[in-house]
Amino acid sequence: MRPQRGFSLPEVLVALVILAIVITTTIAMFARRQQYLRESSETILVWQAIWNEAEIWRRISFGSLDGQPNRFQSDTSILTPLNPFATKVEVAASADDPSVKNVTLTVLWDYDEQNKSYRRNAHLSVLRSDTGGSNLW
Amino acid sequence: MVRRQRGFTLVEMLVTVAIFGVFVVIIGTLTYNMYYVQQKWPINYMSHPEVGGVVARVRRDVLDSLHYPGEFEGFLQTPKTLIIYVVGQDGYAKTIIYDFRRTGEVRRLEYKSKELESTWIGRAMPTFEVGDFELDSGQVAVRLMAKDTGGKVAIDQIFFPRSHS
Repeated sequence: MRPQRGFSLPEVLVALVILAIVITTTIAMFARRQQYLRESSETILVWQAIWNEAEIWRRISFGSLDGQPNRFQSDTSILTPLNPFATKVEVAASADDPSVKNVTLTVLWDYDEQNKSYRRNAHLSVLRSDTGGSNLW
Repeated sequence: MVRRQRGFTLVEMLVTVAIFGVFVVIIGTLTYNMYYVQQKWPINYMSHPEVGGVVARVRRDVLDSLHYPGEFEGFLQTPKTLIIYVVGQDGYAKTIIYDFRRTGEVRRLEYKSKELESTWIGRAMPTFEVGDFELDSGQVAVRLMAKDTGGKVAIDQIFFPRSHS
C-alpha cells in the first residue's frame, strides 16, 4: 500500500504567509486606487470652480478689488459633493509695486471634525496690475 | 477493511467560518465604498478628450465673440442651442452654432455669411446645457453645464468674451 502523507506544518504556514501577502497587497492597492479616483474627482470639480472665479476676478476693475467680499462670487453648486467646503479670496498689494495686486482664490474641503480644520485645499493666484482704467486689448 | 470516517471538528469549522467572515467583511466594505463614491461624485467627463474638445471649442469661440444673435438660419438661441457671432483669426466675421439638442451628440456649425463652411460633430457626449452669467459691469458670460445621468453637475464653466474695444 502506498504511504499517504499530507503537507507538513512549515509548508502550510509558508503557503499561508504568501497567500496573506498577496491578498493584503491586492486589497491595499484597491483601496488606494479608490482614494486616488476620489481625489481626482474632487480636484477636477474644485478647479472648475476656481477657473470660473478667476474669470470674474480678472474682470473686476483694479480700483474696486479691495472692496469685494472675501468669498467666491460665482455659483459654486458644482462643489456640492464636497460639502462641507469653504471658499476664500485674499487681495494683497505687492510689496515691490503698489500698482500690482495678488488675488488668491482658495477652496478648502474635506473637513476634519476633531481638529476643526480642512484637510485639503487648492488655490490659484491671479496677478492684477493697474492699467489706469483702460483695458490692454 | 472498513475505513474510519470522520468529519471536521467544531474548532476547525469555527476557524474556517471566522476566516471566511473576515473576507466577507473586507469585500463588503470595499463594495460599499465603491457604491458610495459612485453615488456621491459625478462622472468625470473631463477625462474624455471629446468632451474636453467641446469645452475648449466653446471657450475659444466665446472669447472671439462680439455678440449672441437671437436666431440664425432657423436656429434659435435656447439653453440647447448656442449662437455666437465671432471675428475669427483671419479677420472675417462668422456665425457659430452649437447644437446640443441631440442626445449624446454635439454639433458645431460654422457659417461665413449665410454659407455653411464647416461642421464638427462630437459623439458619446453628456447632456450639455447653455446659460448665462452676468457681472455687475454688464459683461455677460456663457455658462456651459453638463449633468450626468444621476443629475449631478459634472461640468460647469463660464466663458467671457475678450474685450474688443
